[in-house]
Amino acid sequence: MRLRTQLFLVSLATLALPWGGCQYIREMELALRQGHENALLGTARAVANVFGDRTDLLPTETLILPDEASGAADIYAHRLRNAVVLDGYAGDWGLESEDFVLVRPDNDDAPAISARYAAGILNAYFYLFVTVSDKDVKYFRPGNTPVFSDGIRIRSIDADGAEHNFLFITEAPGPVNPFRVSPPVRHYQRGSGRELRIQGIWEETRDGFNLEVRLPASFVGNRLGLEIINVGQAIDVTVFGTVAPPSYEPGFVRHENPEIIAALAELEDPNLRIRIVDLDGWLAGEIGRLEPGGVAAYLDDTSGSFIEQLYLAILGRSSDDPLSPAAEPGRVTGNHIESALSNGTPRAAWFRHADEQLSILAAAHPVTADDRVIGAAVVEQTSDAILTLTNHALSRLLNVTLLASVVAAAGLLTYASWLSVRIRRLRNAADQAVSPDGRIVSDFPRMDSADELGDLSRSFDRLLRRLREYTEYLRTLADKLTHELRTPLAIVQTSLENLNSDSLPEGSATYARRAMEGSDRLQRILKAMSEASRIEESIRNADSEEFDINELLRNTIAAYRDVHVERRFGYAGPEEQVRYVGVPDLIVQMMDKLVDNAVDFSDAGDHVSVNLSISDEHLVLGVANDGRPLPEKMQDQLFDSMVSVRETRDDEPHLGLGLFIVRLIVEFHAGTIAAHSREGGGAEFSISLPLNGRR
Amino acid sequence: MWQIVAIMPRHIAIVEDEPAIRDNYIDALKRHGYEVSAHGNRADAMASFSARLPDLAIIDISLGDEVEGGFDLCRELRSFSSTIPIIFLTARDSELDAISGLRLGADDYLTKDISLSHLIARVVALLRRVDALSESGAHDNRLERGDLSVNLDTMAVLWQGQTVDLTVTEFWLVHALARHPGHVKNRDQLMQAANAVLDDNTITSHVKRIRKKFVDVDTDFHAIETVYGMGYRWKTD
Repeated sequence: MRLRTQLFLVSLATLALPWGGCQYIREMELALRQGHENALLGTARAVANVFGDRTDLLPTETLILPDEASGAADIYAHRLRNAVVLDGYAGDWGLESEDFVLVRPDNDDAPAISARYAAGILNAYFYLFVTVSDKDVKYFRPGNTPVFSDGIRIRSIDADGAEHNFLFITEAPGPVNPFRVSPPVRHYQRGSGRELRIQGIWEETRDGFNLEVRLPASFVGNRLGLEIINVGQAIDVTVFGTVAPPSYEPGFVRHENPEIIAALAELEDPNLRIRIVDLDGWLAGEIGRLEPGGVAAYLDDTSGSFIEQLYLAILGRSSDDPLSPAAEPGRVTGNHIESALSNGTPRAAWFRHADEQLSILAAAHPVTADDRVIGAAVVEQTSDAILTLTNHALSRLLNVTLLASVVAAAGLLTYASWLSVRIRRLRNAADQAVSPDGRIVSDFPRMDSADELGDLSRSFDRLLRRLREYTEYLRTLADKLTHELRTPLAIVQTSLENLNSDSLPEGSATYARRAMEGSDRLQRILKAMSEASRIEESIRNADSEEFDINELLRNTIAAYRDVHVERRFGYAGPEEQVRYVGVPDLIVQMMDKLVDNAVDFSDAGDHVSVNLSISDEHLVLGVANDGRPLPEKMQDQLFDSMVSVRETRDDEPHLGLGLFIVRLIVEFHAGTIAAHSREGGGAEFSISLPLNGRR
Repeated sequence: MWQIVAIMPRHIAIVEDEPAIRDNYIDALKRHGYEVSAHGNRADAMASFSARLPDLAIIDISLGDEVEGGFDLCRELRSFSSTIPIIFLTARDSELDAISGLRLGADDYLTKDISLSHLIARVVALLRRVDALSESGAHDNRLERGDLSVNLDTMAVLWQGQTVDLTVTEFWLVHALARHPGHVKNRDQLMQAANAVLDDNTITSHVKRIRKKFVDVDTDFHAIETVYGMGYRWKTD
């Protein structure tokens, strides 16, 4: 893995910053919420305590309908706040559309028929409002049988247990008084009288008709049933409503208790909505409103924006449920209430407000009498602070820490890039400092920086310096040796020469001659050894000139033919002149060495061919010979000094300087040289000299 | 030559810090009839020279602790006499040393691998030149090739009438080339002519120096032609 990638991965660790911040905010939110919950639960307990043991206000048992009434629905009577005018319209009831309960026939016989109703209590009157959707309203025609007209029937059981049945049918829209009808028929019969204490208004609407009724509360007691009678085209009669066949017994009437409301009035708090719920979950009293928004809070069903979802996901908390509208008017539901009523456990719950910035906190506390739960006190509050606070804090934290992470990552990445650039530079410098053949060619760039990389570059520099000193020492060793050997050799030689001129006995003369031969040979070796350094010296002092290398080679090869008569020389070059700027003497010397080498590695009668061509601004000079191939093992060192690949030894000392001198000359001309064995035997040396590359 | 020696032995001074070599040279020179005085360091040599100048001096460059004592000695000796032949005989074979030595006025620069006979040949040649100069006009052993005039006795070379100052080795090389103009002389032939064992590179640098000396006199000098792969030849217009 590259250094940059590594540091990038390390930089990911800075993401712990936002994570830690989120954890902190989460804790903070949790604590804040907990505080709020505890406070509100305390309020709820206080409210519950007020109603503790008030069995006069709250029933101690759930109300259970008698068996024959099973299937009947309870009717919730709203506490009407304003006087209601009987006009067939519900605009003055002060209710929302959800407060009207939908009823429809059980079967699908008349899908177009449905009805909505609402009930209310104001002072000593019970109000009922029914709106019926029926495209074909059948009015009561005196000529017809009244059975075949649309109508509404009310069945109630008053406080004394007496049952009342009222049938509303009318000949025309307008005020209407119900007929009193009696079981078992419960329909208009000849002689049915009208109940004048009960007033109603029948108003025709676009979809059907409205019936608004006011009846004295004394008729109602705590049970009331409502039936809508619809007569279809085929004189078929459909009856539906809050009661169920076969008995059509009425259900309970549920409503708030004025005494509870009175008691609650003392606890009123502008920020709270306080509710008392009876054992059946019906609202028994309520004071205060949820501000702001009120009912709007119930309607919100969206699940919040993406950002909010993100925050919630980060905070590890599920979104608050919307405070759901009651399943039916007057019913108070929710897990917290469930918990308070059935387990007697106080519990708080959070709900989402229509306004995203707000939450609703609800706390439910059981109301007990003699250790038995008789209801629940529910306190609800709009909480604007927490979510806003945490969301705000969270978004700021996320922004800041993410920015910090990005900056840190960018910084580390930049640093990594810088480091790797430096390391790469160091590596390249180290690569370039040593040539492929192992010589130290250039100065090592020292870094001035005080860090470890600087140290490394300095030790590289020191290392290479020492290495170069050592190789320099090795390189000059031959020179020094030659120089030092020359004087003692001169002593030997001059002594032998002196000896020779004196007359020696026959035996001694032989030894003197042998000694002379040996010293001659030693001298030749010394001369060869110093030749390379003298070549280097003459190269330093060489002056370049422009000349025709084609002609020079042609002449040189012609000369070689005379010298090496046993080899067959061939030269192939361009027809025209080849102008080249270089040192002709050195080029000739190079050719001498190459041809000597080719001759040494070939046998009598073999070909030695030289060719010259121009390719890509370079002179390409090839010297090839038949004969033995190059030995495999020493190919890399062929052009080093003191390397000889000759297998046989003859009188002439071979110090392996020839090809070294060739290399020096080629390098002086900024060219390159390569050697390889030919497939058919023999070897080929190819030299490439740039036409414009002379230094 | 033998007559001259018999009449009055020539005095040759050798300054060489290596006793064995010094003695060998002394023996060889004495065998050829020369009177030889030898010195191991510069101070001794100077003391002796100021008392009596030798006819010829053979000087090593490094003398004991003085790495370049020979150069200093040469300079001082040359200040005593502008005509006395001086030969450097040294183990140092670098081009630079040779050039510095010759620039100080030495007549020849030889490395110690030269054989005694070749050394003697140079001594003889140099002494003969001195003789020829002193009895100028006695003989007229000249070689004329166009602008070139070679006096074999005085070993003097004139180009367009101007003296070209050559060492003995260089003189012999020029003489060998100019004697048969147009003929290519290869390196072996030139070496024989110069009484020296020289490698290719040394021949090349000798020729280069010779050309330079001629060019100093005449910038259009092109008479010595390189025949690549073979050698050199003297070209006449």
